[in-house]
Amino acid sequence: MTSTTPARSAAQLTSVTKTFGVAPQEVQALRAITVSFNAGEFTAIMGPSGSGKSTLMHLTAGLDRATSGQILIGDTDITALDDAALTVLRRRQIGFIFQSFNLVPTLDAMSNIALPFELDRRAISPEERSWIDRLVDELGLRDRLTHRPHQLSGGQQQRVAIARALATRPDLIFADEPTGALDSRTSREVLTLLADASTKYGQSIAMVTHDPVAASYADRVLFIADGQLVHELRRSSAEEISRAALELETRS
Amino acid sequence: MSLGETLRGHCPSILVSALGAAFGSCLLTTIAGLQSSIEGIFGPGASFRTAVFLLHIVAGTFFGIALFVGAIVTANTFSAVVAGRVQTIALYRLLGASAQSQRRVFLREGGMVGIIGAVTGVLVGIVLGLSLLAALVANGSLTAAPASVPATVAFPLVAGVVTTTAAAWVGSRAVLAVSPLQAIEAAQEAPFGAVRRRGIRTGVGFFFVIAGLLGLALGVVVSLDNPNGLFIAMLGGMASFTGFVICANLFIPRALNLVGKLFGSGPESRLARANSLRNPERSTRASIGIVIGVTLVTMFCVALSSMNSFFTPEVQADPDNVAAFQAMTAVAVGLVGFSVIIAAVGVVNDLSISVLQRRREIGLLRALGFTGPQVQRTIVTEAAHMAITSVLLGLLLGTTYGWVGVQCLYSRPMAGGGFVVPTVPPLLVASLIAATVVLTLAAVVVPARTATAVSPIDALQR
Repeated sequence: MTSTTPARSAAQLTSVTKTFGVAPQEVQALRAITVSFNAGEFTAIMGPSGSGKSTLMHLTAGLDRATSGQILIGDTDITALDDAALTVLRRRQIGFIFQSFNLVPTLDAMSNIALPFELDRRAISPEERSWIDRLVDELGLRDRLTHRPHQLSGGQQQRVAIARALATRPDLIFADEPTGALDSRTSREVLTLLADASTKYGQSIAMVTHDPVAASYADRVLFIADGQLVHELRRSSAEEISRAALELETRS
Repeated sequence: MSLGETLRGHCPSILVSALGAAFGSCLLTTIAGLQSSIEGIFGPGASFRTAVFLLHIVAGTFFGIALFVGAIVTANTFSAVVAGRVQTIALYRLLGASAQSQRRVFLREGGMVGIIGAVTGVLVGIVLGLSLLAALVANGSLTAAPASVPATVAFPLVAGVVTTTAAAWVGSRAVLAVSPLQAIEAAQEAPFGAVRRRGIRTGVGFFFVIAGLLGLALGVVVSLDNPNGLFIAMLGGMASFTGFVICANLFIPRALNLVGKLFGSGPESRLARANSLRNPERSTRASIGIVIGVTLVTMFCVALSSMNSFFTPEVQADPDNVAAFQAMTAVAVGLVGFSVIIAAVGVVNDLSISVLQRRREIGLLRALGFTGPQVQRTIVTEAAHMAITSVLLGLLLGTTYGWVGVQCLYSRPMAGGGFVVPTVPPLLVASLIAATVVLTLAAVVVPARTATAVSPIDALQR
């Protein structure tokens, strides 16, 4: 089940374990999982509730600490970083897209997109400016830049969030059920944008989802169950992904 | 973020800061007016300077009490604002903002709130002070003197800004406990105020309480044959009260629980009790202002009426003495009572915010079959728990301090070095209870109405 993939990886987890609670009530969310997110690829992470897919995302994004094992983002071992360093890592090397969009309600669309730079206390360079301009145009946000989140539709809000995530060209973008709050037409748009971001700009994306249709937009689909990587598919149709998920579910 | 949006949620803090500054500047303007009026009659004299100095000390003490209560209320308001912004803070943290930088946002807002409140308050206080002087001149109590604004009003201005900013810093400590994970929907409700350094605080508090109580006891014993006992008792009183305030978070929740149990075991009462205990830190800070106010009012009243009862019936019956006692009591209660008003702002704010934060939960209760009036009763009961607990604690502490004071002053000349029986004026108890009822009902009107407006659908929506 090992894949023939490009040598470079955006993130590499080696025998990572995550345990919640103490001895008698201990819960193992991840059991010595080894997984790699390939650079430039759009990876979907699937698995039933409680499988550990969210924990996998939290650990890889530096939001929570692994109990044991090693996590590399680019060339950095993040398990050795303290909170301040993890904060800077999130700021510069990781991007986020959420189910509930999570834009800052008091800022307009442009300020939301520029937020990661502002948090980094640095001006946007001319080169970054033209990159953001391009993103704004390609995501169709040009005439929405001065709007506040509540003045935007769900799809527009999610496109602002995508622009914010892409703006810093992070090593890896995490998308947590990005279409969970959208209707199916808008969902298809958003998924196409994510797939395009990876093919056109070589952006590495990891998307947590339970929707086989969403996963069918990905280059690679990882199946997580009981804290372990149990199956893996290259780009597949929604039917194939559904079938694989169902088989894994009934096998256990 | 626009200024208006930033300041939304800080209205109670601005009000508290303004009330404190207005109180201070009104006192100082009035004192300056009295001074210039008296000097206008008698010419500047050294003996007046001492009197004026003493007046400033008294004013400073009452202003200090008001500032302290105000700071507690502001710290509480800020922690509530932080709680309301947890999602946004978590999002900023997730996107790479440091916890310290997020906390500095609140420090800046605290400074802004302090400046707006203190400037407004000082201006209002000056106007009030000048009108009071004009009124005194008009009714002939005072000879006309040139109305002027003393330079001393700079003190309440600066003190107001500094304490508000400091209170904002203290109140925003919970920012440090916000985890970036809370920005992700899956995260549980904010585990609030996980950052604690309780050990040291409790230790310091207990040290003050024990040292203070020993000081009180020593003062009482020493004063049996030495007038300096009063000073020992006074230091003891201040130390023990500081200690009580410091470790109030240990005993106020317990007292709330106890009082709550007296309210029976209906669902409203049980929910109210659970709510006031859910965030012990917050309910402590909401109550402590009232405890401080009631303690001081009680202390003055008990001390004055115990003193009065000690005098011979002839002295007691003298209408001049009666009037003097009543005037002294009224002034002391009036000045201390101002802190109670500030504390009341805190209670109103605490309840309103807790209702807003519990919107989903109230919606769930409604969905599960709680009627609107039941929800209202829960909120009213919660307020009643807080008010009754605070008044009882205040009465207990105030009676103790008042009695110790009188005991130290008057036990020595008494035959046989006997003990003074503390007199708790029934009028005081009655008016405190009445004030509590009024305060509770006033504090609860808006939050209770907000709570009944919550629809069961709120529980189902994100």
